[in-house]
Amino acid sequence: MITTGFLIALAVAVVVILVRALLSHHRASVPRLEVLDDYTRPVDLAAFRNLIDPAEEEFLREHLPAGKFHSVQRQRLRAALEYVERTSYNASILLRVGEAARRDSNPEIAAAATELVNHALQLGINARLATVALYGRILLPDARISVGRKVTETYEHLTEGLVRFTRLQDPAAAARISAAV
Amino acid sequence: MQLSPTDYLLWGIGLFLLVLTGLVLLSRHLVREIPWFFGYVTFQLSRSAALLTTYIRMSQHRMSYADYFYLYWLTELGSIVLAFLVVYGIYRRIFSNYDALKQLVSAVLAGAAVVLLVIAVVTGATASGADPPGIVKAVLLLERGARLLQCGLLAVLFLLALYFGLPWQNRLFGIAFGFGLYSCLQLIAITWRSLVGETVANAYSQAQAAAYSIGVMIWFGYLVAPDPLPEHRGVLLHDDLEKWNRLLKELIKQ
Repeated sequence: MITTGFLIALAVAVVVILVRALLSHHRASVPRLEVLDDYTRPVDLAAFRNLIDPAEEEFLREHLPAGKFHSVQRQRLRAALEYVERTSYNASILLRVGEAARRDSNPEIAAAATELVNHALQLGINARLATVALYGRILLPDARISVGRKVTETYEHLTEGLVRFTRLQDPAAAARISAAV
Repeated sequence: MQLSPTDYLLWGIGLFLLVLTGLVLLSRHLVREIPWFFGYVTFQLSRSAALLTTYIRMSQHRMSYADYFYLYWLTELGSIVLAFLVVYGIYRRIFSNYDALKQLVSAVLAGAAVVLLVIAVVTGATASGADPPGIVKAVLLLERGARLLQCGLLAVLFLLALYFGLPWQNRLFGIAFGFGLYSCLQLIAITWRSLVGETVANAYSQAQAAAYSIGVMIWFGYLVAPDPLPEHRGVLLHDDLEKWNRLLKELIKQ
């Protein structure tokens, strides 16, 4: 009886996943390049770097009382979390844009799109790992674990890739679009 | 073994849609694009023809029920193996283009397959069920294990695609979705059949046919639907715009 219940529950769970995938599949749209900045969320990379900078953290640790440091550090980590979420969100948008252009007849555009897709995926993985680590650090603000450096690095690669990709199609818009991410 | 009008209807709907699916694959030149799925459809059509012939000969007392039984279960085994190949083909089509994911997906897939295999073996070994020990029980357990594995692998496929936000080609999504739903419904039906026993054999057979028809309906629907994803919706190149402007000016001058 337990086996039966387990198998039925498993099958129902898979049906739920399928329905979720179905909804997601029919909702997903590919934004046009000229309105990409309406979809993406800006990320201030310099501010993000500052928030995850170990030297900055060390400075605060040395100059603030422990209680105050914990409170400030938690606020900084929450802000860093917001940046990670933004990078992950932008990566999901750029993944769709890149995927749609991979079959472009122009090999240069197709290659730039493939590069964009791979950077977006890599960023997605790094952002998810960083999210887990950041939550851990919010719980334990004293822990000396470096978090988020890979996210900033891959995000830089992604934006460089986006600039290359946009220049090939709409050079005039490249600067505006890269500023929007 | 006597088929009712409902059996004929369900079987006929599934077969009719499968024939249409095969024709769509041929007419849209999709055989090269999704060969494993075309192989599966061809096998299913041949299987239906062979089973129908055997059934007719059996009702004319020229073949025995045992012939039909063994043909049914042997081809069912072939169908399950081919279905696994289709699932594997979908995995390859979706993830082979993503260098960043290849290794991770292979590891997740291998891990999921091992875990699901263990679950299938454990649930098979601990199953009680209403059927007496024998070939029917063994075959049902084997099929249940295979459906469990299929269901789980497709769930992992959809979860990975959802997790990484991967866009799907419409027809590939339809094939995977159809297989997924069919496997889940089959798993529910077979679990119920194993629990209740021979008394629901007829209803089980109809549930199987209905699940299959739903799966084929989904495949057919997605194969004939337009694919919105691969179209590149980038902006126009400025050179093109200038060229068009020049042509328009010339046209106006005329």
